[in-house]
Parts: sequence; structure tokens; C-alpha cells
Amino acid sequence: MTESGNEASLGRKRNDLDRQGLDALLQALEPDRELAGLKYEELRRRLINLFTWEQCEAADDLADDTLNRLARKVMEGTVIPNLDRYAFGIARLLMQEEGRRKRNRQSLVLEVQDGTERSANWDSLDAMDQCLAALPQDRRELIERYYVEDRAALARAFGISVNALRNRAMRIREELLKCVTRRRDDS
Amino acid sequence: MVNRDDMIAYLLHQMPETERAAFAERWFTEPDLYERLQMTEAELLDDCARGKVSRGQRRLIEQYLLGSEFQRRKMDFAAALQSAIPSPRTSRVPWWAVAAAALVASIGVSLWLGIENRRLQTEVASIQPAAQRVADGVYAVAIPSQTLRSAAAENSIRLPAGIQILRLELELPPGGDRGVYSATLLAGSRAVWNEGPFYPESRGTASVATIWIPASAAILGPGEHAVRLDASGSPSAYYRFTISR
Repeated sequence: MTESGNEASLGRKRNDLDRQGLDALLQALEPDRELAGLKYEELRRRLINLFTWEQCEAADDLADDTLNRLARKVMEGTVIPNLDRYAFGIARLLMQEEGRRKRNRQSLVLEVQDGTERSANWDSLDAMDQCLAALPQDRRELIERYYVEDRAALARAFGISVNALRNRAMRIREELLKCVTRRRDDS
Repeated sequence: MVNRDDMIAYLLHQMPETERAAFAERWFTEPDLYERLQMTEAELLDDCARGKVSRGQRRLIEQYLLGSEFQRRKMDFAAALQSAIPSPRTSRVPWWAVAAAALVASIGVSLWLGIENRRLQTEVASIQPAAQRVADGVYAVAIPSQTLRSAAAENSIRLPAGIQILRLELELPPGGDRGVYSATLLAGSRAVWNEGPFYPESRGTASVATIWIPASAAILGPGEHAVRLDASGSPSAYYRFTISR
């Protein structure tokens, strides 16, 4: 991703994180601006997973709030030896504030029946076909055989351990997920 | 060393609270563990989309892993991947088939190829949707689960004149009967009709979801369509077909 591309992406997601705060946080994450952007996105995604797995509502907002607070601490000159650990501490505080583990099964059912969601599913299917077709032949073959064949036999055929096969397949799956998400968001 | 069961216990909230808090901090600060946790979640969702989890585990997945748009997109991806690369059916190969294969092999590769070619042709023919007019104004089409991966062109349905209802009998993927279902008909990117809740019925070793779609031109116009089956609120299979009149 280019630097400008990174910044545009960050700009969409950082909400009320002001320019100065964002600069300070990016600098603390990594001196190289482009790598810092990637690290920021990765940290944000990890935070969303944390809030989601902890059953918090509005995980995106909570992730942005965490990053805002983290940026503020960096700007204030707080000594932070481990940004990940510090971010986790902020996230834990936010979860306590949020009164976590609120779930509403009913709203999930209603949301799933929403029209936008249906469109997204159809788009996913088309995007999946395109992304599978765009994979290099060897990677496509591996992921297809991984889901179809006996995995121990397949690992033997490739001359690798079952665990190594699993790692390879899951990396290709992750690649597909990114491709499908990108195509669906672009359409 | 954290094993896969521990990670599943974390994701499905089956871990004591004190352990859970410590584990969360650990994965958050250890990139390798985070990667393995993501892989475990992906496999759980894959298994769920492929009907390979128990009823109880599926309930936990729905309760703890599908509670947000962010998570449902992951499940949506797993369902699309299942549709593109479906798991094979498990079937027992009879002894005589093994013997026949050995005999064929001994006769010669070219003969075997000829037989195999014919078998494949028969198989392709057998997965075409079986269609018949079952009553006045009702046209029934059965779509087997093997065709989940197929292009819509392979499931071509020509609606005769005067048909008012299309009855689709959708064979569920193996292990796919998971309680309450709903169905949504998609035309392009539009949802044009839905039905549910309903329960699939057992037919021999398979489970079949039967849906009744009004055959009006507004709903079933010529072109590509797909039916998405949702099991307990999450996508479980897509059936693609082309309508012509």
C-alpha cells in the first residue's frame, strides 16, 4: 500500500483522533511511516477481535476509542515500554466501562434478515470465484485439495507435516479473505 | 504451550473467567499465539459452514462468534468458501467396486479411461436438476448438494408456460440439517423473496429443504439466481441456477 493509500485508510477509521495524535502514535509504532500505517491497521484489527470475542457491542468504536486514548498518552509523553500491553490495559478498562458481555440474539436475527446483508453474501460468492481464479495454480490446488481430500494423505503427498499443511492452507485462506473483502468493498 | 482445545474454549467462552482474562492478555501481546487463535477461529467457522460441528458447538458458535457484523462477515466468507470448495460426501466403497477397479486396471489404461469417461458423463448428467410438472401450475425441481460448487449454467431451469409456483427441493450438504432454516432468493445482488422459518425433511440418508417460490416474472425472471439457505440465522449453503422461459 502506498503512503497516501495508508493515510486515506487511516483517515476513514481514526474518527476523532486528531492529526497530531495520529502522528505521535504512528511514530511510536514504527519510525517508517508506511510500516507504521500497517501496524496501526493490524493493532486496530486485533482490538476489534478482542472486543468482539469478549462480546462487546460496537467493537469498532471501542477499538477507535482505545487507539485515541493510547495516542493521547503518547502525546502526553507517558513512557510506554510495550504499546501492545498498554493498549490491552486501555481496552480492558473500556470493557469494564462498557459493562461487557451484552448480547442480544434477537437483534442478530433481525440484522441477518436485513437486505444489505443479503447483497453482501451474493457479492461474496462472486468475489470468491474471482479470487480463487486469481490465485496462482499451486496455491489454488492446495486450498482446493485441503478442503476436499484426507489431510494426512495430502500432507504426505506434499512431503510436509499435517501442521505445516494446515498453516499453508490457512495462509491461503487469509489471502482469499483479504481479496474477497477488498473486491466486495470496491464493488 | 496452548493447545487447540484451549483456544476453542476461549473463543466459545468455555474457559473459567480468571484463565480467560490471562489468556486474552497473552494472545493480545504474542503475535504467534494471535495468529494461531485466528486460524482456530477460521477452522471453527469453516467446520460450522460445512456442517461438521455438533449441535451444541454450533449453538455456542452462534452465541459467541456471530454476534456482530464484523463476525458475520467472517461466517459469510466461510459459507462462500464452502460453496466454492464443498467438502466431499463420505461414502463407503463396496468390495466389488474395488475388485472391478483392479480388473479394469489390469485390462489396460486406455480401456479404463474410456469407462471412466463414461462414468463421469453419467455423473455429470445425474447432477443436473431433476424437474417435473407435479400439479397444475406447479413445477418441481430437485437440486442435489453436489451442484453447490457448480456454475449456474449447470443448473438450468426452463420454466414451462403457465407455471405459477416453482417448488425447489434443495438437498442439504452432508451433516447439514441444523434445525430451523430460512431461504432467500437472490437475483443479481437483490433479495427478491424469502421464506421461513421451516425444517428440512429427511429422505433416506439426505436432508432436503423444500421451498415454494412464486413463479412470477418479477420474482423469477430469466437469468441467474441463487437461493441462500440460512440455518439459525447464518448462511449455510448457496444454490445457484439459471431460469429461462
